[in-house]
Amino acid sequence: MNTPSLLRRPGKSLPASKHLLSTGFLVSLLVLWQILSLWIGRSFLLPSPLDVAASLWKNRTDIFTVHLPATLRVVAAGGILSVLLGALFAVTMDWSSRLRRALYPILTVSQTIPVMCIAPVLVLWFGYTDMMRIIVVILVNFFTVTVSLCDGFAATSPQRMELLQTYGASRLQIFLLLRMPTALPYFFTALHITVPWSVIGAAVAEWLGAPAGLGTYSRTCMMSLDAAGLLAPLVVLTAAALLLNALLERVEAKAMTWRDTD
Amino acid sequence: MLELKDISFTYPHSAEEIFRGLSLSIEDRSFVSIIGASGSGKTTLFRLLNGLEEPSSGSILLDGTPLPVRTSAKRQSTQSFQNKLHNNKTENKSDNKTGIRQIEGGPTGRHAQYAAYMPQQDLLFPWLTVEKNVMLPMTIQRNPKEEGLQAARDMLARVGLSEWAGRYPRELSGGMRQRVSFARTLCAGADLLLLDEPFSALDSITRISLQEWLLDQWNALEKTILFITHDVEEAIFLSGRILVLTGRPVTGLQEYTVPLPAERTRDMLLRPEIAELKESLISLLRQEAEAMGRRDKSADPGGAL
Repeated sequence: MNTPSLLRRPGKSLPASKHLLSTGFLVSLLVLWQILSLWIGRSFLLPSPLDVAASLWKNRTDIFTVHLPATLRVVAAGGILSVLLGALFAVTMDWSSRLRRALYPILTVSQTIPVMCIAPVLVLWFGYTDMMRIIVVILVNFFTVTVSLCDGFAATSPQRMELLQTYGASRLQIFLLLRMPTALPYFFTALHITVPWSVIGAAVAEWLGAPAGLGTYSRTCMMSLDAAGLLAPLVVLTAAALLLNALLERVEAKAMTWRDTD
Repeated sequence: MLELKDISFTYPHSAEEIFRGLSLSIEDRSFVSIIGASGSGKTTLFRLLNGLEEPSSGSILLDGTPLPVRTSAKRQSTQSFQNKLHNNKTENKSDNKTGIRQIEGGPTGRHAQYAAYMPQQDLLFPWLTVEKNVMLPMTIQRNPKEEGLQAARDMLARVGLSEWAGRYPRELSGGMRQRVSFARTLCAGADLLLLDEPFSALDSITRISLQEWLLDQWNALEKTILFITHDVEEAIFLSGRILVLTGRPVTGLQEYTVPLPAERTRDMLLRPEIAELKESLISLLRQEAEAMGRRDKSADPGGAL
């Protein structure tokens, strides 16, 4: 098996022509959408991109000072905690094959239960609190981190492990000097999946009910058949996820300079 | 002096015995090559010497003292024994060897192993710079970081790669990487170097220049080198003694002495006695390979290739 994120070279931007192509495609899609919605002529069914932009501009204070911070708080706390928890499971299972046999099936089964079905139980226990939403984000994400990291540890070269053994390395030293660095690219791949799914998890949890947040805002707009208002926060959520991922790529390029030195 | 006495070995979960009652001895500061057909047990011999495997019976003696076993379960208890072993050794040698280790900047002691293994592939860690790779054995032996870094730089100077210290392995050519790998092996601070076909993956020109380079290194260093190869000419050019592994299980070694001085050049390989030696080694290996083919066929009649 190959290191997955070697396919994508972080820190190296695509040539301008490729950007041009995707931007052009996006713009033509938006134009098509605009024409289609003008042709249908009912903005409560299909609001045009301009309607969405107008709605976003009109409610910008609410969206950016109240709802966006509320959502990002959950995304940040939930994202970080799910990475920590996922990594903890992976390291534990890498350390002890007995624990691995005990934990892995349970974790796998836990992933077959849709989060949307557990979420009401969480509401029952924690109410409509940040805690409830953070736990939803964790449930959505931690397993991805666990599985990727386990794969990463397993990708360690046995010859390198033996070499370290001939130097007299302890298990801990082999883990720190070899298994962890081997798993690092896998870890970053997991993070790239975790970022958008933390945003999605937070928004979904807010749909269940929350005092503030982009999901809540979107839901309120749906209740009043304001389709443009429903879509506006989604644009913001997407932009937030993209920004976070771009930030992550910078960190990734810094952490793995050895891959890109030519 | 390294001695193997009456060694027998079978891999766990395998019925086939690799060695039976094998004995050999290696003098200090000699260069000994081990050749044999593939599958003859060359690598297994190294695994026994570097402690990755334990003999089923028999013992390995270093200057008359049995080597401690070094499997992961027993590592903790053997570590202190190894230290003791090592300290005794340095004490004994301190009068005739004027602190060579300190001059070389190698590890000065506590956890140094008796044998350092250099694998066939360079196995450099791609995420570490060249100097961090070289100091790896010292990092593992818990030497202070500055000490390790200093030793790594000295070793890199020795192999002529000082200006590459801060680069990453992927920036280096195959031959340079093998030299880095050799520097790392030296950094383990052992007196016995186990080199497992280190040049087999290189192109022939690079290989020839590295052979000459290794010979210079051996003449300058006070180390014992055990060298596995399947290249008869390489074995002759490099070593004072050639051991051939034959039979299965291996019960003894065919031994050849190379009639050349320690300081040698490639043109000496053209001497008639060397050509004769080469011929007899090749015919021995060929017989051995044929015998092994017959054995495999009779052992596994269904799976004949």
